[in-house]
Amino acid sequence: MTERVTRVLLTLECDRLDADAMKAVVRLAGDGELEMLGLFVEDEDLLRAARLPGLTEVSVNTGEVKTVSVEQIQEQVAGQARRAREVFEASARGLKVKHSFRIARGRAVDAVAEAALTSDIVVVSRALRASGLRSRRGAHFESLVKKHGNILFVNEPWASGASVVVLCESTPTDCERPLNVARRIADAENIELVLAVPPGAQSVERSPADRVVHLDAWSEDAVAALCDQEDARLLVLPPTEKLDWRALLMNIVDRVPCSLLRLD
Amino acid sequence: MANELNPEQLLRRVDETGFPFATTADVVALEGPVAQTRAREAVDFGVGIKFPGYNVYALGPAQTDKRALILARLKELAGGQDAPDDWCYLQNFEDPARPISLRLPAGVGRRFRHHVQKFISSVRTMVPAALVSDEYRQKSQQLASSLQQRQSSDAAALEAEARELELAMLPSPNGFIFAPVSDGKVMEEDAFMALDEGERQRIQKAIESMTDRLITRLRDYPQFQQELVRQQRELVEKTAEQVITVLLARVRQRYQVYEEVMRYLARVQNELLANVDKIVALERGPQTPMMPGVDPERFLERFNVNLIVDGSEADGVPVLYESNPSLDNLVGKLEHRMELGTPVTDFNLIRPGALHRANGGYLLLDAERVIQKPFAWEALKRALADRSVRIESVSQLMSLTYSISLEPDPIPLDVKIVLLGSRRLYHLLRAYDPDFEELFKVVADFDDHVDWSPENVDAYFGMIAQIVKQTGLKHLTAGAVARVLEHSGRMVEDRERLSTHIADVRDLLSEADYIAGQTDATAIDREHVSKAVEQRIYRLDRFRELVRENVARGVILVESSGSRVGQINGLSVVNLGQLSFGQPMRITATARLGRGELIDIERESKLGGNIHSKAVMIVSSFLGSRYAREMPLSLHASLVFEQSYGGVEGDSASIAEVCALISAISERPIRQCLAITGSMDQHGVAQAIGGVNEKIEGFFDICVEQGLSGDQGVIIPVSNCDHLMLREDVVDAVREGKFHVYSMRTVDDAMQRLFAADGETLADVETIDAAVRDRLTQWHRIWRRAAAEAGAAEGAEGGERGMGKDAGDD
Repeated sequence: MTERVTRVLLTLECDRLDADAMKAVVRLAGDGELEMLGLFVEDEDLLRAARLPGLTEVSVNTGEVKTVSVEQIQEQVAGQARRAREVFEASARGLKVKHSFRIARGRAVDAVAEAALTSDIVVVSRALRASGLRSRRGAHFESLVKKHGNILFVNEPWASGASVVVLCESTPTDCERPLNVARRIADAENIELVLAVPPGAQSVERSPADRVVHLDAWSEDAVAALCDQEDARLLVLPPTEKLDWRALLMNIVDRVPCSLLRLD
Repeated sequence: MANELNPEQLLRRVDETGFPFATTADVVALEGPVAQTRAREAVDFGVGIKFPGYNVYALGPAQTDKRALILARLKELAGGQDAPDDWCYLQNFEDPARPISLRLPAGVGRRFRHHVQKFISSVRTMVPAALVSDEYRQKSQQLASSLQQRQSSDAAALEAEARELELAMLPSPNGFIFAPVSDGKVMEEDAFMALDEGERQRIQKAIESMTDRLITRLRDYPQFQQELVRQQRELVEKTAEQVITVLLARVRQRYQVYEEVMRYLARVQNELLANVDKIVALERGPQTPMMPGVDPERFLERFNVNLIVDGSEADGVPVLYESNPSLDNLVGKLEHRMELGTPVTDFNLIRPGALHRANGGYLLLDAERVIQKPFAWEALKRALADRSVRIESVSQLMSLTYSISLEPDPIPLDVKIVLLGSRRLYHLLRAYDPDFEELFKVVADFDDHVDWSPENVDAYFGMIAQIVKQTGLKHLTAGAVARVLEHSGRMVEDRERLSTHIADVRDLLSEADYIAGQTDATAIDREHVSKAVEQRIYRLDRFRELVRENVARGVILVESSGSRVGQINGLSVVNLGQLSFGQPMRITATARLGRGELIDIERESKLGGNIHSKAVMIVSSFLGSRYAREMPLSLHASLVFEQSYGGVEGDSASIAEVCALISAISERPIRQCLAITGSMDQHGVAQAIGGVNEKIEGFFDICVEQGLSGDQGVIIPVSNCDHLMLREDVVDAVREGKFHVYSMRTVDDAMQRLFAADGETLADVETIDAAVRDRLTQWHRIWRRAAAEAGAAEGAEGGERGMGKDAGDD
């Protein structure tokens, strides 16, 4: 990720966007002109399933089982898209950024991956409120796990938390870009920047961070625990081979109200 | 004999040369009243006695300045006493329609209000802050995370189970759908239909199985959600309680000695904890756009302290005068505000009345105003009888209640009421209101005048100095003060007394100050006071001048020279409110043979009042006893006030009427250069009358108009001599022998002057009496003769119908 962001892709499956998170994204663009693309994916698997005979849907709210037709599913999906568009455009207008909205049909993984090719960062707004077995991670979770590139997963509410935590697997010099991005966000949000380094790492004297913390272990669990302990608002994650991104994301999302910015 | 009075007897001149000051700047101002010892002691007694019902009714005219005098006295008494307690109204959280009252020591109420305001203000910011704090958020997240983890693990397990059955678990807009998978993708419809029946049934069973499993897992989630909501609610309450407890602890510590306050604070805590959502909502701003009239801010108003009596700055007990004693102003009122077009109220809108503000002290009220205001008198009596103030609106009393109203706790009342009123109203209340005597046991009777004694004159000096000091007037010279004393004596028509109508004196001094100011004088002098008196008369003098003018033009017939039979100059007083003046009136009498009838034409024409009628009867009785003791009074006489078109009242013309009748009977003329005033008893003894100064001056003015001859004068009862405070021009005329004032003890004294012939100083009364008796005897003989002739005629006709009672008696 370059330090300046000009094209942002928002994957939309929610009926509201966190205004504070959107502002944070705009700040990433700095003085440059930002273009925001809202993407709603009409899941091909779902539409295909709707055509199967005798299809039933289990309501997460009531547990009721009912037969649904392809027309009903299409109508519901169209309604979701319409709401997502309204919310996105209202937010973008409020932020006064150039914006466009697109509905893609296909498998969510492929559609997001394709759209991400032309974007500096993919912002994943959190899913509809968790209800029943509806996961907070949202439907695009698996897509994101597999995708490479810069991803900001906004774990509502953005404004909570008192620090930005940035992981640095090697030396601060190697983590210069993530540190700079994290520094910019921390300054803009007026919160503390904490640099987390592996156990036994050399002391870091000239770091842009406000504080350096040595992790007990370089594991997904330990990172999630650190975020909880530090009351993190955002975890900035540079490219890493030693941590499982999927497991980390699952740990963070379910346990800590902390957003996550993975940098490519 | 009617004695002529010398000039010194006509006006009590005050010689300022003996005064111990040059101007009032040298005089110590008098704080209290001039004399009024009886009233002052009554007030002291009334306010001093602590039993119920010992309220005070202050009698006497307002001009005595009794209000200011009583206020000053009460303030003097109040200063040495401890300020009474504060009173607050508070929200009754259990029953908001019945606000609770709270009594606190003086000055504590204001502090309590301040501390509660501060506490609520802190709650408003601290509670929402605590609920977004990191600590709270982390606890809340901890509560939610177990459910979230359960959701994730359950979803992952179901997805894994579905994969094993070659199914995909797809999120749909409303829930989940299970669909068969082929090559990692959801199966197309055609491919699915191409499957054999057995495979399709297997898939269907697998979907049903997964659906059952999903439903089974979902079944517990509402309970999980409810439990999470409950736990989060508890967390909110606990967090808020911690904050509120800490904040409230400071208030509790300050007021721990006041049990009622502690009970109230406990209720406040409960109410706040029950409404944490509303407190948090206040931070988010208005949430009810569809209800613009409802302001969420009002929620916190229930925690206000409505301090209705604040003694924090009191110096002693309160002393109040309520000039507009309406029901609301007396017992307080409930104000209303409009909400969605409906008038509503709450304890914050309770407004205190004078009884609240004066509680523990003294309250002065104008009795007449209290009675004039609807419901006020009844409310005052009820408050005094119950010894508590209950706020009642007119609408409540008339059962015209608003949709939302209140019944605030009555407040115990301990107040002394001083009613200021007239004597007439006092007696009316005593006669017609059975509660009055029970509630107003003490009467403070303010005198209209005091003795013209050296002590009171000294007090008068001090009073004038006090008026100068209070009103910022120029100082008065000793001469001006002397003139004020003379005027004061004139005001009460008594050379031995001084007026206590301080308000009138204050008005006179203000006007004299104005006049002095126009001449650039540095002090008010005698002539300024004299001019103020003259100008006051002049401003009101239009009607008097009109009367004089009509006399001069002969429209009103009054003669001040010559002699007339059956005509005499009587004197009346015309009262125009601020000004009264004397007006001479011709009283005429006629007499002829009759049956002892004295006709009062005023009474017959229904213009005579009862006292006048009584006086005429006395005159008739006097004539009978004096001139017809041994024979019937064979007289038919009539009396009239000529050119009188209004009512005639009073007995001050009795002697004039007698003299006119004697003149008419005896045909002896009466000197028209004299006027006479005085009432009399049946024995002819002259009795005092009112308005003697105005009457003398009224006739003097006519004489001046018609030309002073040196013979003119007025005869007055000797008992009125002490009342003479005549104008200086009248006194000067007397001194110069141009006018005379005579005193009489009896009718005989008057007759001597009135019936004196030309060249004769005094008439011989015996001669006049003899003439009267001769005439009456003559009439009686005629009457007897006529009666006898009539009897003979009747006898000839065979009847014994008598001529009348007199004839029969004779």
